[in-house]
Amino acid sequence: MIISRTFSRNINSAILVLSVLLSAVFISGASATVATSSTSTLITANLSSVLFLSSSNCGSACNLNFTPTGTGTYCTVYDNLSYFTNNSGGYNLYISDNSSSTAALIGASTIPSTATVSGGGSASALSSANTWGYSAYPDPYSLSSTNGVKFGSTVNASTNYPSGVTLGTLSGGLQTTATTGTSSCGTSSLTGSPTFAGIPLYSAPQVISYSASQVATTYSTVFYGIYANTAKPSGAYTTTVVYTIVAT
Amino acid sequence: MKNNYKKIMVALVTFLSPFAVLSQASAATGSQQLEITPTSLVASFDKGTTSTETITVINPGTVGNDIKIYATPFSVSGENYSQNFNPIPNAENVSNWFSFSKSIYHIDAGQTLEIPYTIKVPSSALAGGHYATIFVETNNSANINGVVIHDRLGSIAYLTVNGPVKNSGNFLSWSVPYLQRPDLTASVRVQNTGGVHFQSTLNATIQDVFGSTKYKFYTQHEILPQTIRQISPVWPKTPSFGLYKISGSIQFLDQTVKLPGKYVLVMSSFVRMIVLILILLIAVWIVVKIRFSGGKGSQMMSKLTNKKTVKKAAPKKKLTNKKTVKKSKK
Repeated sequence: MIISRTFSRNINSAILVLSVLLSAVFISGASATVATSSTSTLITANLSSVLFLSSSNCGSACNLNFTPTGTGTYCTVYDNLSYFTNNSGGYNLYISDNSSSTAALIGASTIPSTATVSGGGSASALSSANTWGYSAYPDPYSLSSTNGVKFGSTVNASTNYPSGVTLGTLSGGLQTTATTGTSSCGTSSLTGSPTFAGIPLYSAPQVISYSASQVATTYSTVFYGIYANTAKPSGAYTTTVVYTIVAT
Repeated sequence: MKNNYKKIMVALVTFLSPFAVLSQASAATGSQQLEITPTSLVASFDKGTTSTETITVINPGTVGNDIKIYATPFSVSGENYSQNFNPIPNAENVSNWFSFSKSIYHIDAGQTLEIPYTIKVPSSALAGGHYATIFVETNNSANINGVVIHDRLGSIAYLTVNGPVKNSGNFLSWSVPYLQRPDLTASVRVQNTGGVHFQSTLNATIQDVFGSTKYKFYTQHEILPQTIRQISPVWPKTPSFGLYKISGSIQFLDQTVKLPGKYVLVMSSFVRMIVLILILLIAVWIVVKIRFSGGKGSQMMSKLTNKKTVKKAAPKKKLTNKKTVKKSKK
């Protein structure tokens, strides 16, 4: 009995010593592994700054096709812009004609833009025949705050329309159809007195959106309105509008 | 019969044609999309040297685009840095330093283009900062009635011509109006008094009254020579009501300026109206209370006055009685 007890004690002691030794080896090995993997590597990621701009409703052109009447016909079309930048200084988004001398629709005759806007200047309704202009939304300079397109204060992210506006219910005779890039016209005056500003010249583009820091995808809607009668000869009337986005 | 039909058709067309001011045209094309990188080029050159750089143009859209590339001058005006891309009379036109092997490209849907360009710095260039913008612009042909759309993306070139030039700047101000409507806005002004641009880095933190961080603002801007730039940190979608503390720092050249914490009370127009109504209600309540308590008070006063009269009258009566008693005892 005594022998067996002594034996078992020795076994226990041996196991204890072995386990201590093994754990010591294991720990030292582990620490050796840690020491090996602790060589530092500096990982540097360089994210390039990008600017993105899309005109998604009109694409490369906003059509203003319509048949006027003697007393005049109102016609509107809209373009949806989306843009973003990861530039930490933000961006400016501008609108202008591509001409530094005139912003008129030019064809067999000319249809002048309603006014020249600079630095958030005045805007006017399409009250006189054979004029055209634009109305940007959201409107950073409140061009339409007094006599303008009175919509909500935010843009519906899914439709890009001003909040509260859905297809077919847009007031003021503005574009309401789902057809991309085509116009919506009527002979009655534009209810709600939507206001249109003259397209600024190329040399003095107008800011329609801005930020002092980076932005995720942001939306703007630009409405174009024309009021024409049969005094103007038939034919194609065109001009080129430039949306410019630049980091700040 | 056929001849009559033709005559009617000709008459109809002749009658209607004058009213068709704007003829029917092809439908507009799909979404027009472009992306560029980098958004700015910051580089230094020796006089008389030539360098080749690249700008990357990406078409993430589903239709191809014709694009053109060109350079324009770049300058700013005012403290809000209104950008100007037109030549300034009697000033050096830095866009002339830029040349492009091709000015027109086609970029297919999903394609990435690396467009090289060359910057040749004249040997007569002055040491210091020189600025231009490289524009990439869609140039799709469109046969339509109405508005042809061009999307234009600009990358600003901040160029330094090496040589002796003063490089200095000052911190001017840090202002935060105490009472604001959303969005919460602050303003930092930095001045460049030297002859070359430098970069400023602004960090701002907005905390609530319990010290919890609500918003962090980080921005980097180039400050052009001999200009003052106002940088305005904005907290987008600020809650319509709250008391917040904004603090931060701005770094430029070798300076780090601490922007001390300032409290801002944000109240939207609606909240202001509610507060005004509450103040009016409280004022009305106080007036009514004073009037009401004033009436009660006068009643109380009269009651107290009566009591005093009674109290004063009573001892006299007692004394009289006592005296009477004493007198009777005597």
